[in-house]
Amino acid sequence: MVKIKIKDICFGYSSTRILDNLSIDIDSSSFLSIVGPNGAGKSTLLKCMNQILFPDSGDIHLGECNLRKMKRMEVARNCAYVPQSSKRVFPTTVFDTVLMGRRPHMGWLESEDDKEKVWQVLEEMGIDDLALCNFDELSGGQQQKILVARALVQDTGVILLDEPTSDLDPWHQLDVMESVKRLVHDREVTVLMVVHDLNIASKYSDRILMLKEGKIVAAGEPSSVMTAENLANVYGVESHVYNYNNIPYIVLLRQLGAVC
Amino acid sequence: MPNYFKKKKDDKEMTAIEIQGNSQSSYRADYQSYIGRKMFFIFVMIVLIVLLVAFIVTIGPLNISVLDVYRIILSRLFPGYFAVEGLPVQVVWNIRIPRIVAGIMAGSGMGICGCVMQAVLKNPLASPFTLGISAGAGFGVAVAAVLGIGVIGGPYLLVGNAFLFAMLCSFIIIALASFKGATSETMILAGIAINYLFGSLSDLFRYFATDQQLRVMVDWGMGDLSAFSWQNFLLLLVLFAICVPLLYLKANDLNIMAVGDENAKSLGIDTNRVRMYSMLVASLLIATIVCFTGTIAFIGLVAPHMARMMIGSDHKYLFPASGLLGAITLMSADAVGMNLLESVMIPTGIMTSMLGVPFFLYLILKRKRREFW
Repeated sequence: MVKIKIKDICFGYSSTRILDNLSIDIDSSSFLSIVGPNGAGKSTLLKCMNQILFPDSGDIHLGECNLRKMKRMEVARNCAYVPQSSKRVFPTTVFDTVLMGRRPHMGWLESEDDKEKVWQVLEEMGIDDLALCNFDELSGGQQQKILVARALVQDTGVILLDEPTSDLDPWHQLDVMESVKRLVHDREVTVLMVVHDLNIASKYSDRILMLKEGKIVAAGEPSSVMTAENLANVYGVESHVYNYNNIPYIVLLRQLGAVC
Repeated sequence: MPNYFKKKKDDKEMTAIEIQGNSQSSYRADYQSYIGRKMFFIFVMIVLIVLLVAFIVTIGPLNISVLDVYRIILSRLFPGYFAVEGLPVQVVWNIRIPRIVAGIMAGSGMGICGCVMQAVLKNPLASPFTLGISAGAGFGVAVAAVLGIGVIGGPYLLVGNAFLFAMLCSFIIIALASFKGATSETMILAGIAINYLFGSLSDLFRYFATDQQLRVMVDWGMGDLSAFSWQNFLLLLVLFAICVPLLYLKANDLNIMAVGDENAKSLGIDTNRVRMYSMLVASLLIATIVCFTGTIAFIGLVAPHMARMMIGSDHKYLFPASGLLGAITLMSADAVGMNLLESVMIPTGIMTSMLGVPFFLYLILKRKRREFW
């Protein structure tokens, strides 16, 4: 169980500031969705949490450890990252792709134990029949599940997901999201997910972080963040928000003026 | 009281569990056999090399049987147990075997280095030739041939210069790349630029060279294994013994880097460091090989692709497979080049491409969705 503390982080490319003094505490074993318009800094925030990018200032704490003082391999043992897609130059099998998740825990070669962990996860997720398939020849939904499987064998307390449902049909969206939700409950993993689908964020998240221009506009439970006012302010759209079983569902109506 | 229903139900449950268990173990068995096939392929390649060595040594004006070849090799390795003397020993041990050993070492080194370069640069067109390392060595030879200037004099003038400039070329690429964060794109662009620079400098020397100097440069540029002898075998062996294990240590990291830098970083790999390390070690090995063999462009580019088509992209198996396929291709091409025409020896570089390209095209056209093996 890992609690995350983000304090005053800033990040920018030359003159453009992407993250602007962003601070938030994230509870352990919770599911946080990060929403906001394109360019709000959502993916950048995830990448800063995994040393793919290094913030210009500010600190991120994974549990008691300051990310700046951790080695890359140590970060990978604590924090797994599921990219939006994973294009490769040379073909790899599903088994080899998932086995990559064991890299932070192994020496120069994988052990039988590492392979057994891969089989366990593939069997748990019901995708062991794909083990010898070429990753690139699978559908978007299957690829996404395999990348989630890779994060699972990485055996970390934190999983970062970057738009895991963006290319998927509704059935596969729910399939991937149910797998992720089970993770939080069964394995007590802290999940941070960048997502554009506001209804997916509302349905599955314990908390939602709404960003605009690198700053936090709202943070809290879905019902308090997903309001028509916040959506108008952040996305520049008029919407209706319906409540069903205390979960807000959003129906977008029209644009309000120019794009934010 | 006999409980038939209960018994029946248990049987049914057992059957269901068994079926599920069997299907699970069948996927695992498939995986085991998949790994087994890769190992078997590597084993077959090793056996093929052993058989080819004996066969190629017998080809030539002096008639020697395969049995004699093995007897001569054993007599040299274990003197006292197998006593063989005479002209065949001199021909086999001092002329034919060194050339074959050169083919095996150069071919396998080029195959492995090409494989490393394609992986770290995430580019299927990367090879020691396309990155300008051969062009650097070629320029070193041009300096030695035209100006007579070299780091080592005497018989090693060409070899010494070729090595020095090949390494210089690698250092320039690595240094240029390190300024911009050692991304694969920067390294490739730097390599192409260096390739053009040293290529045009060699052309300049060629323009002013005399016929004799030009002949030296052309001969070296076509690639040949005759510069190799037992004297420099030890140097190559030591470099092999150091560089190949150092590269093999990174096999898993190279697997991961092939799926992109962001992915690799998130899995704990310091991509820039691995890229610099692998390029440096591969450059050292390839510079040592190229300075003896000249430009043999085909092997470093194509041997890894042939191996990938056969056994997939896992570098733990791809490294040895690329090396073995490189060795077989170079050794066979050299043997054909030596014996095709009675009075003329066709340079190895030319034969390698002429024989290797049709086979490579066959693999491309016949390629299944999965690997062959």
